[in-house]
Amino acid sequence: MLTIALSKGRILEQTLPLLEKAGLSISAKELKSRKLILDTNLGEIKVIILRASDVPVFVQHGAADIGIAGKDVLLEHGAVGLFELLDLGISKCRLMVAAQANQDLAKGTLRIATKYVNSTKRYFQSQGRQVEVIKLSGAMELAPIVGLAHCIVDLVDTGNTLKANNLVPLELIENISSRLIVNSASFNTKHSEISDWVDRVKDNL
Amino acid sequence: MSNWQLPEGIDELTGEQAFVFESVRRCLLDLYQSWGYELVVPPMVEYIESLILTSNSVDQKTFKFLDSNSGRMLGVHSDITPQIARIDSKRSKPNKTDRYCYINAILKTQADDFYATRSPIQAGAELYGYKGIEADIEVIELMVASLSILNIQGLTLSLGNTAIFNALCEATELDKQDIATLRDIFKRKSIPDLDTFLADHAIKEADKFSALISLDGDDQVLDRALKVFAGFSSVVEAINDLIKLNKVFNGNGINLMFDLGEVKAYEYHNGIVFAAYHPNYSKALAQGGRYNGLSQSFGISRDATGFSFDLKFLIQQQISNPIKSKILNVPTSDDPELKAFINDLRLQGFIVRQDFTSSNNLDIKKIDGKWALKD
Repeated sequence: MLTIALSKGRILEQTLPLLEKAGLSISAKELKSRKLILDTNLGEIKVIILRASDVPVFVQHGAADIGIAGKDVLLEHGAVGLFELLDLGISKCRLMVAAQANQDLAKGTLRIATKYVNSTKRYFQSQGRQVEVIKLSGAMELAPIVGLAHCIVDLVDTGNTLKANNLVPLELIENISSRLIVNSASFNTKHSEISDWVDRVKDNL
Repeated sequence: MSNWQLPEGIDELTGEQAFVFESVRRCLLDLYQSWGYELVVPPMVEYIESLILTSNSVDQKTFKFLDSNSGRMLGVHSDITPQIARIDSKRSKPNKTDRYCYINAILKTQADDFYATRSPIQAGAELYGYKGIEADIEVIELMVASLSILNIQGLTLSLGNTAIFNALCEATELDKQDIATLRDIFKRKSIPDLDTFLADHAIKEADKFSALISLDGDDQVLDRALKVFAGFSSVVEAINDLIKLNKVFNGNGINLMFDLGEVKAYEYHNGIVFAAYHPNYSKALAQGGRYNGLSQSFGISRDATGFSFDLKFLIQQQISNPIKSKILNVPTSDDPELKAFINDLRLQGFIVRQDFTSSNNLDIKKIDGKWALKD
């Protein structure tokens, strides 16, 4: 028996076709139901659908053997005890530092607004730069405009939201895409089942 | 804040768990003694230089404070292995094999994993002074025997050899920072991150790193590995050691799993590494490996291998199934016959507790003028 944790929302829309190609499908009835653990066409595999940030937590604790989560979520979580076996190449974007076009970031302690607190601290630490991080949950672009922060760290897809708020992307922290992750203990105790399944997904990417 | 609250990650054993802990501790020490392992009780506090040695991971997890007596920094032990290296270094003789065991509370600044304890009770055994695979086999067998004392059956034994990763790094002449990055990638078995790293760094043996990270599975993977690394003598030697372990442990009622790209959490491991998993637990229950040369910080080079596990965690998970002893309630009295009867019951192994409340809920009564157990 394997349990797969999937991220809700846009990633889910892009994940389900990938899983179908690998031979795993979830009926529309199951997806619309209020059930928390969903049956699939393969009796030995169950699926749970979670908030993206909870996927590594469930997989780390062994509540799910396999998960699909964005690299941004994994970086922020720390991903201890998880193996990251595949890049699914979906939900691609970039984790970037952005600021107003005329902002000089060269001097003094930077104040940065982000929801990626751990990733931001780690990145600037590796650059040898002193920063103060302000955790926000949304509307990051507003922070430099109202003077709350000198710059932001956020996911950038097309860059249109930045442009609309007179912000420019400055530094790339990480290229982001969805990854297939596995609990390291499950990897040892259910190796053959997990490897078969991962190979099926890989062969159909 | 409530006064009874403990700091995060600090906990205690009470009641049944504490009792089981103590009885298992005794059984483990008896086991280790019967295998010829000498019990050592290292100090809780040492100078940080002898506690940390070469490991960044141990450094990060060690509580440190200033000793006003000596003006030097002290640390609270967060891992017993470096202490055993110190103990061995001051009493060992060349070519002599020494065996040590321990069960000690340790303290960590950060938890190792999501189970979040910072105060494990580390049990383990270490074998010094023998380079051959027979020493690795012995400590793995002892680790498995330790877990069977805790009634843990159906183990998966994961086997690897960090000498393969180390030999590859040496062959590529990577700098320390790149090796640390690669080690982190292998620890997370992040195949996408490895692809990115290899694309960004033009290094020798890139194809071998790519192959190594996916060399895992049953014993068939060993044949594959021999083909991948044909002609790479130091790696072939490391694979041959795993083949020897396969011959010993395959078919012994243990599920075997080989992970040739395994690198351990502690940088000091440099040979055969192993871990025991159970399907009910999402982390390794016990683990260890070879760490030849850790004693070099003490001016001596000794071959060594060993294992450890958090005994408190295993007790807390209640994966041992203790037999609950019945507690006998007896009356309080100055009656010498009653006292003699109680003593006799205790000698027979019963747990006997005086009932001060004079309740009727007693387990003994007088029959024909003599104390006896109720039916």
